[in-house]
Amino acid sequence: MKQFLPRNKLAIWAAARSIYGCALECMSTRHANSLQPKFQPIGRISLGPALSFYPTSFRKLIEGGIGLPKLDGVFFSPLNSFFSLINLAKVGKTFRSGFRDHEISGIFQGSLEAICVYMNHHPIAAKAFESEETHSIAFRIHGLDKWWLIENDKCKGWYSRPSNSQFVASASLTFKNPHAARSASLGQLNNWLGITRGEIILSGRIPLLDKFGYVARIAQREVPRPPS
Amino acid sequence: MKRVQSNLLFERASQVIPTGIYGHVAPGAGLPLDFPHFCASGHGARFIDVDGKEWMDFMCGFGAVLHGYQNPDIERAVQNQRQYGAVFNQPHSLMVQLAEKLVDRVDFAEWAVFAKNGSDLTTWAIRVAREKTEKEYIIKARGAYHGVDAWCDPGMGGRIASDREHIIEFDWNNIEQLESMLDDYAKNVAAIILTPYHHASFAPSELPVDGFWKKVESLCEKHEVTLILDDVRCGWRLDDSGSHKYFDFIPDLSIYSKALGNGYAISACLGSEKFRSAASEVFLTGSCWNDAYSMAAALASLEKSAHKNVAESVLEKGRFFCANIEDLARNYGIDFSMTGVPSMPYPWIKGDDNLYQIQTFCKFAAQEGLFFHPYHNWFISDALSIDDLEQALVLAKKAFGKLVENI
Repeated sequence: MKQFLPRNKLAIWAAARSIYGCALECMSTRHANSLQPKFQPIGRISLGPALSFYPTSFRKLIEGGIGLPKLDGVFFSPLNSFFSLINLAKVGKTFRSGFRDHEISGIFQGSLEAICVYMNHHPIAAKAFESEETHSIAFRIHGLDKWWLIENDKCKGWYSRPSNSQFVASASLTFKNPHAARSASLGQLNNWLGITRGEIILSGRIPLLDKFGYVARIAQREVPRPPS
Repeated sequence: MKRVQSNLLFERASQVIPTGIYGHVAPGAGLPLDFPHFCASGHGARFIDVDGKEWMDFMCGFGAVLHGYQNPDIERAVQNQRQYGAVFNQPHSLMVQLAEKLVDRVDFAEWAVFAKNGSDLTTWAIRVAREKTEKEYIIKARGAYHGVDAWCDPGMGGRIASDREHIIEFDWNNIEQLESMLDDYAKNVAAIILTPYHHASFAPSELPVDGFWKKVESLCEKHEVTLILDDVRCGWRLDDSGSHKYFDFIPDLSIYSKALGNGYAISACLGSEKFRSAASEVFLTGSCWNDAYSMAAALASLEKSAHKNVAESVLEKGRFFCANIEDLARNYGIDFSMTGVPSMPYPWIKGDDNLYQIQTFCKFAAQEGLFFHPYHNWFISDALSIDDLEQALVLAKKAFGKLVENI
């Protein structure tokens, strides 16, 4: 049974997953885990063991750099909270101004995580992807020599993971260079121009990529991200 | 040849047109990069893109052109009408002539109405069916294309749940499923809308199995359901009197467009006598619906189709081309088949369910100047001669050679 999330919750959850995805790619597991997101029953969102936010504060933090965490977590576990805050700031910096290869990988992974949240929990997207559950999409960034895959698991739903060049997915989306991948991830690339200029190459199961593109654009419009 | 002008135009287009180009040739539709974005001119079975590259065409304006680009007979008819004008307050007398011609040509038809695109009239036809039957549900085949309206479009945007609340889908050729749907919704199905055969994109075309149409006809009769034939894509390519003749059945309503005007925008819905009254109650008009140029083109096109037996001509050319291109592929060890009917074949490579090989083949074909589409049925223009087709086969052979090297 799919769990649909209300629009505001969906965007915030996607942002939190995106931050965590980026951290997993750019940082050590210990650092990344300090940003592992969870929904708390009272509507807050937590990053790591101690840091938590109300959704509005979390959005303000991402978009404007200022957003107050809930103070109870900070008082009870100041070191953990501080550790999470430092790592959160690093991820923010990566999104704002990261151009090195591992930073672009992080931004890209973060973007895939956010899209997967929409594929799983956005009512229209989830319905559209119901008929695609046996399929997968491969992503390649020329110049980074890295591959990712989005696929479906009965328990996890749609999720992304690093892959390798040997895996033949149902569809494939290739970026001409890291810069194009970075721009696309941050919503700064006109998809259609990107395709006609050869910055993005689509191949394989086009209807699947069509759906992916539609959902990715919704996510890019709705998910908060730091100003660049 | 580089796509310089094409790309420059696309950059300009993307400033003023959402997605630059929309629909089935939008960049998101994933055509290989070697395909042009914009055309400059076309004559017969060839067109020239904005970078000056000449293409041998196997798409015919996605089916809108049957007799070749700028066919002299049709252009002459339109040119003749230009001295009188196109759109007036009242329809031109050509509308009556065209309706008479169609009613005369299509055996079950007693009346005709006109619009500009297939979608205009597929949607209107289901409303006529609802008016006639006072029922709500519409049955269609899963994956079938019937136009751009919200009840049937293949996109995802701008839709609300209620748009498709009364649309039910069955799998083409699955008569048991259709029968069971009609039993389940027995008293509330207004119409079944179908194409003459299943020509969905991204999948091999499927012809009706033996007895399919007879069974559909009898189910419609039994349940008092309107049988609507969407002949927009196939019309005049299978039979000069409508595709129902090719498959031997009789619809209640049928819709034509594409080849009807040989590139001039016109669509027609034809109906049997018992639907005349319902048709009179469902409002229909449009800004340029009575455009006399298109009607002149349609009259000339129909005349030409009948005079030259064009449907049989394109079927015959298609048979020649399909058999030979399949042989070519076989020589390279590729299990390539042309599915559907030969006048509008859909290319399919066995085992290539995700379309990587056909995309690669069409990319190489494009480099040779062949406009082969990787996941839409092709169209055989009557302007293609056997010499043209032989030339296309020589070029296709090169593309197969490159494909084999690339696999």
